[in-house]
Amino acid sequence: MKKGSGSDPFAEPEPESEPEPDTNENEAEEGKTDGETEETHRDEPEERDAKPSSNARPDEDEDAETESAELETTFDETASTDDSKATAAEQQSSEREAAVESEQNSSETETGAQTQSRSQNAIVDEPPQAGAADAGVPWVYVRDNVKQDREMVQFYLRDYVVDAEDEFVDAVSDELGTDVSKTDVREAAYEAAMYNVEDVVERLEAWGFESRD
Amino acid sequence: MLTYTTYSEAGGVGKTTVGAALLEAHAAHGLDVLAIDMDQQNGSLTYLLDVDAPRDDSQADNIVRHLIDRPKGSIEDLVFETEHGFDLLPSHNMLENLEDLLNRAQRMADDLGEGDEFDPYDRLRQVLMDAGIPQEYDVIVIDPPATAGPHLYNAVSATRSLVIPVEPTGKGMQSVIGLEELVDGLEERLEAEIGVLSAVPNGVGRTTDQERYLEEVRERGYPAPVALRERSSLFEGCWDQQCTPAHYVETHRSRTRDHEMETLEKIDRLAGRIEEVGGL
Repeated sequence: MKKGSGSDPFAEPEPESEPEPDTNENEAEEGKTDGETEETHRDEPEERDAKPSSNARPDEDEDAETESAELETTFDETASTDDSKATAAEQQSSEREAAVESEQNSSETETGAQTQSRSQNAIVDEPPQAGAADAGVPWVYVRDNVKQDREMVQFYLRDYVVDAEDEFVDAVSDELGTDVSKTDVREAAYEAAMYNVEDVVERLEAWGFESRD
Repeated sequence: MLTYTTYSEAGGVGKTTVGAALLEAHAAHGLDVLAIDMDQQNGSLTYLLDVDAPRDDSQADNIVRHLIDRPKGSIEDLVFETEHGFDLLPSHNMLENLEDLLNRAQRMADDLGEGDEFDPYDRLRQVLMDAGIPQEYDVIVIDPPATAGPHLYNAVSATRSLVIPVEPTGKGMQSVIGLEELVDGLEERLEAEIGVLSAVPNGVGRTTDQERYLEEVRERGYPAPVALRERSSLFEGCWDQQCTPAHYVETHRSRTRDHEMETLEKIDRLAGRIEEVGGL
């Protein structure tokens, strides 16, 4: 601290270099932490490192980058084991290279008029809140908590689905590159299913529901 | 260029009122002055100056949208001209969620691979600099809420200097003692050199006490050119009428009160001294 004015906040040339002497002083006192911060997050205020949520950030970023290849595989695997089991093995090798989306599409063409139902029957409206594509602040940024604007609905799920939820959330988070809550994944999954009626029907048929004709 | 944040650890020591009086004094000295209101509470500078900004309208462009990199227009369009000779970038209710919004914006920047460029505590400085605001003003004063948090950090990072109203009570003096720690903490966090332009003992009862407090503050190494006596009538009048102290005395007092004029003169002297220390 000094009497009088501090450093010029709007001095263009590297404002970070100015407080160097200060940093050195601090290092003398608590050299370890400062040294670490200097190397890893040079221009991040220290406090952020202390916060658990932000703390996890850099790691996650690395994860997202390094594991992205792996993630696709796990994602594919879960998708295909859950999906048409018989053809899975054949499809897997060729589709593993393809992006998740194209994988879905190709398996969809097998099962039926998926693309048609998607475009024709817009069962669910666009979300009421501003989306990422709008000029507005997206809903996830505006809401105060995950339950805001949401109605609680009871779901009855069998154990094997409940057991898979955590892995599902992880897979989505990995693919997305950022953590997402189970509540968000559930709604997104449900909404996605509304665009994929055929998939839902197929599953119900597998459970033993029969068409009347 | 003079930039400072009005800061006090405790609320209710006339931080905003003294700030408004200083702003007015800087403007009266012929300087181009911008005030930035980072306080989301109702008793903020924006309210005091009776600026009719759309603080409830979340769809309207506001300072927070700029801080999280989702502006709806240019920042210049957010600036109001007050009737007191200086400009104001008003407060907005979105400031209530600033911490959350910044965290989320950080996450989004991380996801886009731009996380290194996004510093949630240095956003205000970035935004002002990108908009060329520093070139347009001689003085920029930021009024953050009294609590530590992203509002204060952004304010201090953008100004690097503080003016600190202090309550001259035992507790107030304790907060002066704690000041050094606070400033050190800020310096470490923001990696910038923070200066104290002035401490302002405010609300001192007797004249003899004034001198004692000034001595004490000065002994601790803070510039303290003036101490302000207890002026609740004047300061509360400002809030009632929503105006600056000088404007209140001029417009809403039927007769001149010497002690109030003395306070205004002191504030004027303080403003001049701050300008001097700040290198104007």
